[in-house]
Amino acid sequence: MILNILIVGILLYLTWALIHHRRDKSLTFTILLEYLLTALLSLILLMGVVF
Amino acid sequence: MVKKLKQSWYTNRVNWRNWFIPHKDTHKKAHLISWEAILIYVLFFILLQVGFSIISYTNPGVLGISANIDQKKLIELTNIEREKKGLSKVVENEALDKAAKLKAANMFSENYWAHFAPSGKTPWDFILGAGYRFTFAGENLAKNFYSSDEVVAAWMASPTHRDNLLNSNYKDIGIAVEEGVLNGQKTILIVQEFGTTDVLAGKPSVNVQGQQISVPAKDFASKPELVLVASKIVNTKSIDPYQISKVAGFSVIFLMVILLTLDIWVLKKRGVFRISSHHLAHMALLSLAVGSLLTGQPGVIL
Repeated sequence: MILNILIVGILLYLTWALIHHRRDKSLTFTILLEYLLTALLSLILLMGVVF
Repeated sequence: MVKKLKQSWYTNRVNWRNWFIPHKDTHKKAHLISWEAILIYVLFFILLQVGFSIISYTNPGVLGISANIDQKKLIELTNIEREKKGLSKVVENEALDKAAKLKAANMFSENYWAHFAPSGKTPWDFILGAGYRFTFAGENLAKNFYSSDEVVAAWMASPTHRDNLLNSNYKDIGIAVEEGVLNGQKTILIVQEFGTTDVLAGKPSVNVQGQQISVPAKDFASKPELVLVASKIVNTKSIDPYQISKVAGFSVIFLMVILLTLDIWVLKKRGVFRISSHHLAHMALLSLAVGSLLTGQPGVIL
């Protein structure tokens, strides 16, 4: 359940990042990487506690 | 010489600051919240998990959970839930207690986490082996919980386990809370066996994970009585990998949130806008991660 909530949160976060930075014409590889790594970090942190 | 030293000290001081606040001239993000740093945090947590797996494999029982789970409290909490639904209380039965202990011991010896053993042993093998001649029985399992309340709450939150716990046919209960080493980690297994010997319509069956499995008539005649062997003493001072992961996770998130806040504050003070400074989105996700870490726990039911 908690994992599902976090996954939904991550998807919203990444979708927001893509839409916002594309509209802003500021979507660079570094920015995308920063978002992806933050999302991955959140997921890994929970995995360490739940599994 | 003195001038050189002074210059070097100043450069170091500036570099030291760059780890925590945006760079003075370029306004580049603090090193500790750059993508490179986040990558290092990710790798650190992956290595931590790999390290735990290696320790579990090389030194079984060193890692694991120490919990305060009481067998009597579990029965009491089960009956509270049953009474809430207007059902009769289940009474502790010695044979079912033995069946639960036999099941837990078998899970440790065969190193599995399931209702059916890899060797083919079924839940009713232990119930019949303990001398309980049921007409209807059921089994709930749990592991890695810290308290009795958490165990019963988890069973109640799962529709199949709740239906089993609140089944009106049951008259007897047996519970085992056993400590041992499972998959290299010190684990506390909780086995809950329900049963009745009352004559019911239909063939004798066992309720496992929401499925009613009919027990072959030959099993009632052929199952030998099982003997309970004293369990091995497990290392009582184990290191809890889940708590370590939790503390490390909170520390990294706390550091990142502080630095992101500092970044916004410093840039505002400097009157600078940076296109990649949408920190609120990062902070929202990190807050969600904090929430999930707070509510997340290693306990699982089956």
